[in-house]
Order: sequence, then structure tokens, then C-alpha cells
Amino acid sequence: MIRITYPLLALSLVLFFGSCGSDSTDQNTDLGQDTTEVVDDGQGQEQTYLLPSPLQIAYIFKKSGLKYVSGTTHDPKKEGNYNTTFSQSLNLGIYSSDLAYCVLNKQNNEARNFMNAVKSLSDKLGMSAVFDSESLLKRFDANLGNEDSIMFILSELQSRSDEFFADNNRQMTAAIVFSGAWVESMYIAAKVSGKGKASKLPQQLADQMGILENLLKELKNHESKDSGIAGLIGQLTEVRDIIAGIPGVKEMMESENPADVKIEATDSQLDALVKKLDEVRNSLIKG
Amino acid sequence: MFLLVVLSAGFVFAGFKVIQKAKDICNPIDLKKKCAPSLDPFTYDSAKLSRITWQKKPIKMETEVPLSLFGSYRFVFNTEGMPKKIGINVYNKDKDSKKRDLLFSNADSLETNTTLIFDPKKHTRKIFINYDVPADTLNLKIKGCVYFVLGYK
Repeated sequence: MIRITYPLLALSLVLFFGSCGSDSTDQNTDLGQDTTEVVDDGQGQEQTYLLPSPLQIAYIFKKSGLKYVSGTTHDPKKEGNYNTTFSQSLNLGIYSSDLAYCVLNKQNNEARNFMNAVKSLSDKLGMSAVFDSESLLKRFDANLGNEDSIMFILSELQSRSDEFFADNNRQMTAAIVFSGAWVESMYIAAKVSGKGKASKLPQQLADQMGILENLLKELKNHESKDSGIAGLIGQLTEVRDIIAGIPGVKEMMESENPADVKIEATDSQLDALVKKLDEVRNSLIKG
Repeated sequence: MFLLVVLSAGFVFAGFKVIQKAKDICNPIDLKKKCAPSLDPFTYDSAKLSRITWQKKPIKMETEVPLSLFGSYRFVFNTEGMPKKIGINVYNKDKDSKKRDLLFSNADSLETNTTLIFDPKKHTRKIFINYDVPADTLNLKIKGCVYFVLGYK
């Protein structure tokens, strides 16, 4: 009898100490939920799509020569006009792009206004934690004028937002926010770059096709969850089709050396694209 | 008999600990901090934590990463959360393509090397990250995670 009791006691102790550790582990795990859980789909395969930050898009446009033109951004005072989660998410993306555009072009006063709009819409979407009780906002104010510091703060804001969306299983909101950001970036590029042979707009927009493709795939994953997403997919598909119709774009998309492919758009193609971007952006900011 | 049971219990305990350890270090906030030095001098763009449970058959997870022809990029992978090594392979085309080039692989990397850095030299429009998870033939129910961060400049 004793011979059985000792092993059982040993096993009980081992299991007891093992389980003591797991409680605290589970608490920690709750802080950081995964963004991807592999589920056996019978095929043993899973496909996911990464979306970049609005800051990167603004940075790339700036790097490729996009200048600042006053009045192209959305009005930050209109942030109060959005009353649905869908319109708030879209316009959070729009204001995030405007913020990045202003910061990269040293428009500090405007940047401050857009930061307030971003904060306000984030609060409405339940994302107050991203700003860490005003501390991020204070750091932003204190560093206005110091481009490196502001860039660091904005990338931290992006990183915290990514964590928020992942922790709270709000990938759909992330995709809608990014849709607004992407449309605003393209709208600004279209307004600022202009037409003519010297225009870099065709190259800049063709360069965005990979991102647009990923965005459309990600939105389709969430299409059944919000009635507004189908309309958004339709609008973005129209934009994609116009860009894809520009000579050189399809070749670039299939080329092993995409940087070597020349993209040449006619003025009428650019007009059609600018008109479409205008139309889509206006419908998004209307709310 | 006593020794056998204690040894068995020890193995069970070790198994629990491996799983617990994987859970502990799958916190994205901690993983982000750990990856930050490796990202420098690139700016954070986006990140993805993939939590992986080994299955009876091999799994292939693919993440499609769009890149700009005007940017430079760094890919940082942290595998501290994986109790056993999985394949991390980066290609220029997706898994359904008949012909694709392998741009980066951890095949020759030691299992103890938990931070992997890849700076793509050639500009491509998209890059495809594949996590190749072997089959769990011994039914060990291994769980873990891989944290990926993209930086740009």
C-alpha cells in the first residue's frame, strides 16, 4: 500500500507545482492574444495578408518626390460628424494619413489638429488605451518640430494600434481604417502630383497595386460582417481597374524586375483616375 | 515502480513547462521590445504574431507582404516562442507558383538563434513568408508562436 502512496504523492506534488505556474501564465497570455491561430482546414494551409502603416505610405510618397500642398487634406473639425463605427473607422484612417502627410512636411500646427482628430475618433472606437492616458499626446506636443522624434511617436502609435486590433480581435476594424488611410493617401498623391509627362503619379499609383490587392483580399475576409464593406470593395475595385488599365501596370505586376518597367499614362487615364479617387474619397468623408 | 512513476511524472512536468514557456513568451508587447534593437535603423511598419499548434500533418502558413519599389525593408523574426524549430522560408512568389525563388531561409540557422534578420536586396512588389510546420507525428501537441516585424526606411 505504501509503495503505491509515495508515487501518487510525488505525482500530485509535481502536478500541483506545475499548475501553480500556469495561473500566472494565463494572466500574462491574456494581455497578448495572437493575430493568427492555425486552424486545421483539412488542407494544412493558411494564407494571411499584411497591410502597411499609413505612415509608411506617406513616407514612400514623400521619398518619391510628393510635395505639400495646403488644402488637400480633410477638415479635422469634421471628426464629430461620424456617428457609426464604420464611418469612424474610415475617417480615423483618413485623418491618420493626413497626420502623416503633415508631419513629414513639417506642418506642425496642422499635424496637431489631425492628432486631436485621430485621438477623438480612437476614443469613440474604444481605443483610448492606444494613447496611454494622454501621455502619447503630451510627448507628441513636446516634440513637434523634431521630425525624428515625431516619426518615432507615430510609429509607436501605429504599433500600439496594431496590438489593440490583434488583442481585441478587431482585424475588420483594422482593414476598414486602413482603407480610409489608403484612399486618402492616393487622393493626396493624385491632387498634388498633377498630370503631364513629368508627373510621377502613374509610377506612384502602380507601386501601390500590391497593397491594394492585399487590402481587397483582407476586406473580402470580413465582407459578411459589415454591410458597408461590400460597397467599399466595389469602390476600391473600380480604382484598381483604372490603375490596372494604365499601360505598363500589368507588365510591372508580373515582372521579375518591376522597377525596370515604364508606366505611361495618358492625360485622359489620369483624369479618370483622379475623378474616381475624388468620388470615392468624397463618399468616405461624407459619413 | 516508484522510480518509473517519478520519472514519468517528471516528463509530464517538463512537457507542461515547455508549453507554459511558449505561452509566457508569446506576449506581443514583450516580443516587440525584444525585436526593437534588431529593427534599427529601420522604422516600425507592421507586425504579426502567429500562434502555431502543430498538427498531425505538416502545415504551411503564408503571409503576403506588399512592398514599395521606392522603399528599403527589414524583416525581423523572433522564434523564442517556438519550443521546436519550424521552417521559415521567404520567397518572391506565392506557394501556388510553379517557379519561385527562395530569398531567405532559416534552414542553416541553429535552433538557439531565435532572432533572424532578412534585408531584401532586390526590389520585388511582394514577398511571401512561409512558416513550414512539420507533422506532429508523436502527438506532442506542441504549441508556440513566431513574431514577425517589418521595418522600412
